[in-house]
Amino acid sequence: MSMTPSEYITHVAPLRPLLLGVGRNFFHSEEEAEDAVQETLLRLWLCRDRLAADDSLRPMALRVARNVCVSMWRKARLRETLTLEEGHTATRPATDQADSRLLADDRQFLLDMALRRLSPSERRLFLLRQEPDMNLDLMARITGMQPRSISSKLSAARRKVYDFIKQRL
Amino acid sequence: MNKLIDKYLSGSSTREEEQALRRMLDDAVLLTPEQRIVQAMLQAEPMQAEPQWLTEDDSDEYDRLVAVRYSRVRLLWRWVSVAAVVCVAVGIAIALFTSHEPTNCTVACIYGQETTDEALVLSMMEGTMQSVLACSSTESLEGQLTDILNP
Repeated sequence: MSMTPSEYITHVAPLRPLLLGVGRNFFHSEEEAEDAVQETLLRLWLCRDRLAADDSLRPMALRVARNVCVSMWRKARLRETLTLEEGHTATRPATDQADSRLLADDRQFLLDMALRRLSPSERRLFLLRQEPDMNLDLMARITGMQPRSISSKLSAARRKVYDFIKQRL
Repeated sequence: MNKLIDKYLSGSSTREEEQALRRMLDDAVLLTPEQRIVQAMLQAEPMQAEPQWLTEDDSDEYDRLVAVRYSRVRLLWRWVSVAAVVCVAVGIAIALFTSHEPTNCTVACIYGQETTDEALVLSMMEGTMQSVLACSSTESLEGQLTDILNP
């Protein structure tokens, strides 16, 4: 049971309006519903090796969409404090004879912090792009977003991450 | 390399260009701090599927939260409708109350100006009647009216 990318585009992508309805029914907000459906489609994409293009696909997609809505609702109720992470700064200037491995660890840590500060949509696109052979067209088919919108959000995400790390190194 | 970095940060680079940039950064002997940041960004791990994504089921919680949300909306509309009915009832009561108030108000036109000053109106009336009486040859009211209407 495994779905190829073309099968995903053929069988899963057309479910977008249905999944969007699940989000609208829950949030009554177009923005949050859109966010939920993007997350749902991404999860289905990442789990495509466990999907089959049969009658079980539609109920499973709906279930994933409902799970995403509830998950987003739960996260929204939690207060995320970043003060502990804000306090973590690199104390070793790069111009010193510093251990490059420690600097790399700092960069990785800061990268993780920066990614967490992105909006869910930006983070999703940033990491989706890291997949091998993931081009703009495929990202558009997976998420249902316009390529121009993807490019714009990707740029915003990368610049935010870059600026965040640069300010703290 | 810096041109590719600019393209990367602007989101306009192709996948092939990003892969080429990553190779260039990995092969470079000396990198600036900015280039090392981009190198770290390109090395970010892609998202991984979590095992429970397809197995967990929060449908009951979804239905419960939707029901709660709808009941709150219904309750809100109920309060709005009650408030509207109360406002209309108060408005009708005010209109009825003010319509029963006596509106005895005598308005007279004196030299083209409307006035409701009772004392002034009576004074002017008395003066007018005195003038009529002075001009009339009879003392009866009928005679005086005849003199006025048939000068």
